[in-house]
Amino acid sequence: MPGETILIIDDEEQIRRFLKIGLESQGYLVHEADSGGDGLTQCVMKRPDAVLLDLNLPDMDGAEVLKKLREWYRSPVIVLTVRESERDKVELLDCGADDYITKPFGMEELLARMRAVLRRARHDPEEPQFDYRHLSVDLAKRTVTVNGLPVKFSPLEYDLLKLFVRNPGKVLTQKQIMREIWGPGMESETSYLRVYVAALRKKIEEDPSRPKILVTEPGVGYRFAPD
Amino acid sequence: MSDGNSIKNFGAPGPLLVAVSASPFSEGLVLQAEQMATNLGAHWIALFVDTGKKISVNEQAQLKNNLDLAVRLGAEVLVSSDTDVSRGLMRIARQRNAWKLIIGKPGKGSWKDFFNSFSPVRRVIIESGKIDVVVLRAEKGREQTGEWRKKSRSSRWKERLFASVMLITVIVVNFKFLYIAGPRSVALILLLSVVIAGLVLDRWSVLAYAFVSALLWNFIFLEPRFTFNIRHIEDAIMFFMYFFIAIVTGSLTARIRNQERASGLREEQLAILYSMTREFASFRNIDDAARHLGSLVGRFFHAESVFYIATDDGLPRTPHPASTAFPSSDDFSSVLETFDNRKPSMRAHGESGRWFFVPILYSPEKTVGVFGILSAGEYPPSIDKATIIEAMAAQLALFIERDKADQIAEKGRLMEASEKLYRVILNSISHELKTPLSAIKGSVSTLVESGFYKGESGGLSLLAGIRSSADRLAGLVDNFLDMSRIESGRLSINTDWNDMEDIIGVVLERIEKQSNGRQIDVMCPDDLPLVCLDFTLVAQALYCLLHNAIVHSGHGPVCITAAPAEKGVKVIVEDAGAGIKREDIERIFDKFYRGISAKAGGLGLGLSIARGVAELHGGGVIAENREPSGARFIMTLPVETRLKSST
Repeated sequence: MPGETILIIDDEEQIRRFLKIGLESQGYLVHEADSGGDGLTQCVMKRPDAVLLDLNLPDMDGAEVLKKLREWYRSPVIVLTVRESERDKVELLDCGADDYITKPFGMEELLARMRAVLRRARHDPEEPQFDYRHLSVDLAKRTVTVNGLPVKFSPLEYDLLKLFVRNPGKVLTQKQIMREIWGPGMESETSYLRVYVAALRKKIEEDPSRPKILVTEPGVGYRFAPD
Repeated sequence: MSDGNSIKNFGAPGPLLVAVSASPFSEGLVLQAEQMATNLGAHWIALFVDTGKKISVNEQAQLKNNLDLAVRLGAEVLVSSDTDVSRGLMRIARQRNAWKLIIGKPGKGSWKDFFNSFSPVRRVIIESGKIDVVVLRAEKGREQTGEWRKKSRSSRWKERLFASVMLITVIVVNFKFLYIAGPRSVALILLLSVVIAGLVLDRWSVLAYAFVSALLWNFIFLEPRFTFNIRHIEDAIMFFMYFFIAIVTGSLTARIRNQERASGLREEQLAILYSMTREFASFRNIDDAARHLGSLVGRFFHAESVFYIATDDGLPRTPHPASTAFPSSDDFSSVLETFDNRKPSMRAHGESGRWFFVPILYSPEKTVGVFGILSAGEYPPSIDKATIIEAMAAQLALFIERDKADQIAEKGRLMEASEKLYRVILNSISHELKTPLSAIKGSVSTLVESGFYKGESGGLSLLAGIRSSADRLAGLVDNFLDMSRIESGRLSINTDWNDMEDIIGVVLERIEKQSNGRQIDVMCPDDLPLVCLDFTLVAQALYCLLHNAIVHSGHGPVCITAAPAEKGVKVIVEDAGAGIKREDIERIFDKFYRGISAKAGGLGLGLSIARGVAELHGGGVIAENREPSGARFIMTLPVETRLKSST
């Protein structure tokens, strides 16, 4: 939504510049910070609607900034990261990052992510009806149709689907899903998750080998309805 | 219930107890007891009752041999001290709730047994109560007692001299006061001297003392004096009473003394063991522990000690620095013998000293070193000493193992730290390389996608060129970083249960963005099991294989097939291109090697990454040509699998 403010915390001027130009072209108001400390201060001063946080900052670790930020700040944070650090990504998501984007990335990709996190942050009242591509879920009636045809789910499959439907576009880490569906203490039993995800895909994807609705984030988790 | 052992165990309500002595005959007894225990499926205990009686060197060796045999055959060995063998046997038998008690009897009865209705065998049978007593016959071994008698005789002449002087003094003093005190008071005074003699003399000497003093009393003090005649009936009664009391008192005091000596020895042993175990808990390294053991050996045995601690390459020739004495190179052969045979050995050293080497055993099969004691004392060491020395060695073994475990843990910590450091460095290199790339790609894409560029279409295609070059550069950087991770050997793979189809899906998503609608067929059976592997690494490897197939095979379709293998899974990537040249078929996996007919572009890292990743999972990648044309790459991943339906 135009007029929303975004704070960029990144020490690289070139990156900040293209981010600012790209975001402003879409009507966002952009603030910049070139260090973790500056970022935290600006966040207090400007109260942005979302934060873009780089992981490598000169004065402090990006994860540290995120933890400090999350002590009081509730709005979305997108982390700029590199492909190699899956462990960091999982840790950041578990620490309260809303999403991440892997460098190098294109502007469209970033804008899509930004729109998605801001939309979720606006606390739209939960729609009982969810439509995405050929999938349609009615949470109130507990009915699911694919290409207009009703599909049956086992209770656990439905719970998993419901969790995904309630978090469209958001990366859910394996740990988060396991805890939500199977309860605490089962986080490491990921083989269950794999089996149920495969079963869900068989029912909702057109080609389960090329999933478009429930996609895997390698080494991190899953993302439902990615765009 | 069908298990033979469990049935046998029902028949054995308690352990078998076999009495072991220092006689060679006990060896046969131990063997028979083991046979019996095995047949009955029962636990068995070999018990030696230490009466505190001194036994000869040969007997000690025999006893140790007997007890060692029992240990080797699986018995629990107990040493209990009691001045009476049968009482000691029965006490332990009741304590341990023994079911059968196995004792030996001599093959030929001796005249002593004939008269002695209280021989240990008979007494055990009388006192056994509910316990079955099995008496086995065997020939008694050669008597080996002569030696110690000689020794003890020579060592006790001082006490006997003292006793004789005491007796003469008492007689002389009493002789002077005879008319004042009367013969009965003299008898009391003499009895007192018998008790005193009992404190210093051994049993037979006390009895001799009692006998002589009784006769002297009769001879000197009883009317008629200076004859052995006794005139009055009271005197006769008095004489026999005296005789009897003297004998009983003498033997009682001797017994108390023996018991005292035995418990004194036990106490000393306990002190050593206690000090050893208590201190050991607080030591930080082997040096301290060995030094402490050395000081214990010096304090209690007045001996020097040496420690050899095995390394991975075997036993070093140089002893541990905490050693207080150093075996000569000749002695070292005994050390090696002890180490290899896992049995104690002895060796004379110089004029008076002897080495006694025991293996430091962590388990019956695992020797971690050799512990040696150099002493001038008795050899072989007494059973008690040998037991303590072996206990010391056992403590040291535990300590050495603990120390080793600590070292391994420390190494692990270092490895982890180095891996962490490596990851930090790699991540920062990655960050440094990718930041400018991000700036390029981001700027270009902003220009193109946000509609800022309003120039000529030629300009737009230049921008598109910059963007695709940036992508290609990013891909190269990724490959470089992957390769250096795989090569570093510091990368711990991050395995988890994964669905092969899922991995293929991720790779397809990535590659189909770049392959301009190339046909890629996927064959992934529904019943493919879950696999335990590193998702990102395998995805990267598959990406490399697919990318390679797409780039080098013209425009034909590419097929990717996943299938269960003998162990784990295999993934096959096939194309319909020109295939691989014969001479290239192995070399294409080399780093930076590019096929003879390869198009421009690319570094030649993709296939070595794929192979590296497969090798990290214990597998590999092979290349072959298809008929009639095309190449096939087979990646095997012999990882753990789990059926999907079983979860």
